[in-house]
Amino acid sequence: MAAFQKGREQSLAEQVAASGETAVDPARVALREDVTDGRFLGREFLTWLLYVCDEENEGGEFAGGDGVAGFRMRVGERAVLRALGEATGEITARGPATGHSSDVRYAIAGGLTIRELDVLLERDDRLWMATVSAEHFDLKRVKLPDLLSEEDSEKLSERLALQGELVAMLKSAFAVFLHDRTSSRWSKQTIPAMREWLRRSVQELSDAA
Amino acid sequence: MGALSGNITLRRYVVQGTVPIDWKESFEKSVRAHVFVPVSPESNEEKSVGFCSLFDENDLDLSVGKFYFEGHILLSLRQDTLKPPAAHLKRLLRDRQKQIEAERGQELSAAALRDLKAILAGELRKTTPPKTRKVDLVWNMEGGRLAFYSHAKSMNEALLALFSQTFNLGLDVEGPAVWAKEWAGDDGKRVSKLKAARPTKELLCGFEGVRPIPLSQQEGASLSSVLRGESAEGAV
Repeated sequence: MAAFQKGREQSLAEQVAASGETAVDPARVALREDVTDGRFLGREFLTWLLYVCDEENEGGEFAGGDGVAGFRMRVGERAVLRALGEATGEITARGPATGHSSDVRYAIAGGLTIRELDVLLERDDRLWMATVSAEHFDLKRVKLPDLLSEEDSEKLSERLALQGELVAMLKSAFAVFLHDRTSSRWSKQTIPAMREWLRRSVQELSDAA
Repeated sequence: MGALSGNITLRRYVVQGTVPIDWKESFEKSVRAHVFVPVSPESNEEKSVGFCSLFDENDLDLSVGKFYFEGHILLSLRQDTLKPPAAHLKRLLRDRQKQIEAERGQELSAAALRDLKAILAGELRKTTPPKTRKVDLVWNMEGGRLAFYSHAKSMNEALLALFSQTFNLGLDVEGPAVWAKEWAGDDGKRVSKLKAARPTKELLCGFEGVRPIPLSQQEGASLSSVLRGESAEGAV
């Protein structure tokens, strides 16, 4: 216990030491927060999406199911990456081919995961654009396909239906991710394949340098 | 920007609880009870928040016919803030203080200055227009989902409070946890797999051997040990 000196106020560290409490490990706190309510599933899903839209499923083809028709997903022009913990820096990648960016892959290989991702979803001739956040799957900068209706009330119905379709497509992709994530395939195939995908990009990056 | 037009910013909620059978009558009453009331310039209130029509922020006469549409409750949350600009108030106070001190030939006391500031703030409130913020909400009653067209913390907090007061129902953010729970459903295997799932080491500490890991070895090892330890204990 720290000795109390007369005339001097105890520092916070001394007060904590005197109280007998142990200091909290910030890594443990960050990890506990990440696991709370399955939050890590959000960031792992978006990171997996970046990989899947590039490498597998013929570049982001999803079969749909459960009332959701098949669709294709591509990565848009912006991705935000961050490591675990509040004190860590954030990297924002912008450009026409974020999904193919070696810098983004280099960051993922270093333990950063996607926290926000621009995605484009296509079905038939219709295109949805949105930025998805990992924490709550919040959506922003959502652009819906052109409306076909002309009446105001029909326009509102169609707009709500198109928003519903966007959410349903994301949910469908998340279900595919969960199938993979909760099976042995995740550690035996997906993560090794992602490692190889990242290794190739990092190699290309160092060759270019 | 909102439910009706333009680009969309959206947070989705799951509505918790059961809608009463006579919901039309009870919801109309409770929505009317929580309708937006403008901030009075005569009062000291800075903010006011309440419901208004999704189609017109000045339409505060809300009947079911106006806010129910094809299985959806359509409303907007309106928040007015009436706060005189601080810099303007400060300038005005300084000018008036100089004027009074010159007339009286002595300095104003701190208490007198405080009173003068309150009087000036009251005067300014009468000429300052309120800042209005309107955020749409669309509640799909059948699906039990609510879309709120803002991510702003203050507006989302206002929604959570007002929604539970008005409808006596709760709201939960619809995030990865909710989707995972819905995916698992009653399937025991899926439920237990999800329960056992922990963050992937590589997506936490980096892919060893692919590139140098930016965290020091010590920090990386610390995260790994936390992960392994807590996975084994199942304490998190």
